[in-house]
Amino acid sequence: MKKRWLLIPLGAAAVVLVWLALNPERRGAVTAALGLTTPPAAAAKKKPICDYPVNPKVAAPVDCIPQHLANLPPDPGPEGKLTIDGIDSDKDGMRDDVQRWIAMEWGHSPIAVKALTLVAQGKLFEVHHGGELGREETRKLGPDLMLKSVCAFELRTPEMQSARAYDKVKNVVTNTPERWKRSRDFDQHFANSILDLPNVTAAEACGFDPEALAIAEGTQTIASQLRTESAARKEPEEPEQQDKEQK
Amino acid sequence: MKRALVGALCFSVGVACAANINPLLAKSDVCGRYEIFHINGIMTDREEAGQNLRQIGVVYGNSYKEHLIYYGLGYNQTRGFASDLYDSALQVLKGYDGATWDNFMSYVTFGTLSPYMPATTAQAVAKKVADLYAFTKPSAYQDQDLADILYDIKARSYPHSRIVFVPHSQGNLYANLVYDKLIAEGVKPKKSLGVVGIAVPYSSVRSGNTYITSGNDFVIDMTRIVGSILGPNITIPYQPLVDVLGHNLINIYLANSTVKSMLISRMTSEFGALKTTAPDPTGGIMSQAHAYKCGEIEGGPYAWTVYVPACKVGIPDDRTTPTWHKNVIMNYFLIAGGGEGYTQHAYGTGTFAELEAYNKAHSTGCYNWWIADRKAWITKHKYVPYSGNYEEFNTYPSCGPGFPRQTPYGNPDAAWKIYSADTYKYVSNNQTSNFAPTGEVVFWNNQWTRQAVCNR
Repeated sequence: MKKRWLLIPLGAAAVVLVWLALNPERRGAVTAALGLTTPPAAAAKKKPICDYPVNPKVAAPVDCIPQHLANLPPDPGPEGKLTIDGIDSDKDGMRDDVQRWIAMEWGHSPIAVKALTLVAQGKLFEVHHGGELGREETRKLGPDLMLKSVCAFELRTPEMQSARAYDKVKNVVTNTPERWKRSRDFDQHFANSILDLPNVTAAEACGFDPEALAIAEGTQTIASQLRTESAARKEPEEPEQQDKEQK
Repeated sequence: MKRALVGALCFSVGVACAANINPLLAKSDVCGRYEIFHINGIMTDREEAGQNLRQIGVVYGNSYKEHLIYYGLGYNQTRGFASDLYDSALQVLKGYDGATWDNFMSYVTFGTLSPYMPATTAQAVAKKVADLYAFTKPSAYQDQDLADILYDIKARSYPHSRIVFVPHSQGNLYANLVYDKLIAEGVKPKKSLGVVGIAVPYSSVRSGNTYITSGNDFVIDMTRIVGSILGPNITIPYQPLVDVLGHNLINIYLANSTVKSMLISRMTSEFGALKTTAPDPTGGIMSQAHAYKCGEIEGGPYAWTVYVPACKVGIPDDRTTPTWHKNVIMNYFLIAGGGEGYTQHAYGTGTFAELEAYNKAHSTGCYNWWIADRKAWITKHKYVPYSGNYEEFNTYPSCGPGFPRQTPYGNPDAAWKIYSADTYKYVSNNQTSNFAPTGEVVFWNNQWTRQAVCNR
């Protein structure tokens, strides 16, 4: 009988140990609560937020936290993959792991954050609705989705292109077989159809001027580079000369 | 040869065949619209395919010979394919002892054999991967796929349009099938369809093998060792960090300046060689006048400059400012009637509906309408002879209050559609003439009339 009572605390201890092992963040919190270590978030908060723009990829500050890395939601870890929509703890419409990836990889670049957020939102939408919406309902979304594609193209910079940032953020969003399948199912509704390319300016597609954003960052979008090339290719016309001849 | 000449002409004489124009100043499409359909390859999701199309549009421009181009994406998402060719190849390689990506790639790219990659193994791997991606197995498309895309093209494409397909990779196969089907089902005639293939993994491209394939495109090289396909015609520097396969449309092909130039010239050549099926509008009457912002209109009924306040309704006349502002956006203007030798006064510019409403509310006489700043053509049966001693062919007059429309003034249904043609010819008394006015002046009194001629 005594031995049985002994098994209960031993079993409980085993459960706690397994639980802690499977949830690193909770384990950290427990150990911190027991005074064994400092919680990571608390440790991070000890540093002030940098009051200047920082690109941690170029020169990571040691005395402050870059603004774009402050106030990020916690890493959801494996739990973030348990459901289709994952965890969005700050309820900003962006899955926490995706939000963190964008901030950590490209947070130093406002135009990249805009672009990758747009691309990620599109993919998250597909994942959420893939398998739910029917063909006709999905196809009705075509014009809006094409407009977003145009905006994504207009925001693309050489830095993003060479790093294949769009591909990577899409891979972050569709990081489980089920998410990948739902995104594919969503796209499947458009298979063998024609999608019109909207004839709009970059600003009309995005609702803001992508080029201004790029210039503010000291870069140029690929679309802008292409247009510059295109303009250089054209020979100048001289309509006024013709007009004078007419007279 | 003809296509090459058309392309060469467009660039050598500086005519901006492909360019970006203000859509509001585009010619209308009496001879049929110009349309471009991009068909993506596999491993391309819809969002990326949309971006690819936009980039093609930015590279080529929104117009061909001042006609706005319609761009459409024929979305190619075939069923059951693996998601990534590189991963698929790695999986296939696992089935062969000692075979690695590097020695497979060495064989495909340089023909270099190794003990673990004899030719038979390389060919077997390439065949399996190519089959996975339907490069050698067209049966992956089902009849319903083609029926669906055909239905959509029918719905989107304008009658008499000229279409150039710009497919990438496996989209070339799809384009070939769609091309054949469009012709077989009588949706489009062969003479109105062109193709410029990019990264072509097949032995032919419809409409004359116009294509662009890089010698450093690993996917195409791999397909080459298992079948006869079109040879490379450009070498894009290999950039493994950008795309290990050297195959991506936007990151590899369209990022290369030579490819961009090739694409523009080949698309222009294709368009130049295509024929419309539009009825020949010869016999129509051209009417054209240049409009200048708050300045002048040239090309009045008597072939002299007419000074008018060609401003938007409600904007003060500033005819005293003789500054020429070309390319102002204006569709119609309203010109007061007057005898020969009188200055024609315009009340303003705007849409037909705006000016019609303005005129009916305010004017005290009948007015004729002019169509401005567009190479415009009014169909023959809309020709409205004036009852007086001279003819005018603008329109039936729009009358103000108390001035009912007179007879035999024209057909109230007179079309206000504006047309334009590919080219013009000049006729006098129905005889074609060599006379070639330098300006844009309309000649009256049944003397010289510009006529629209579709490039058939």
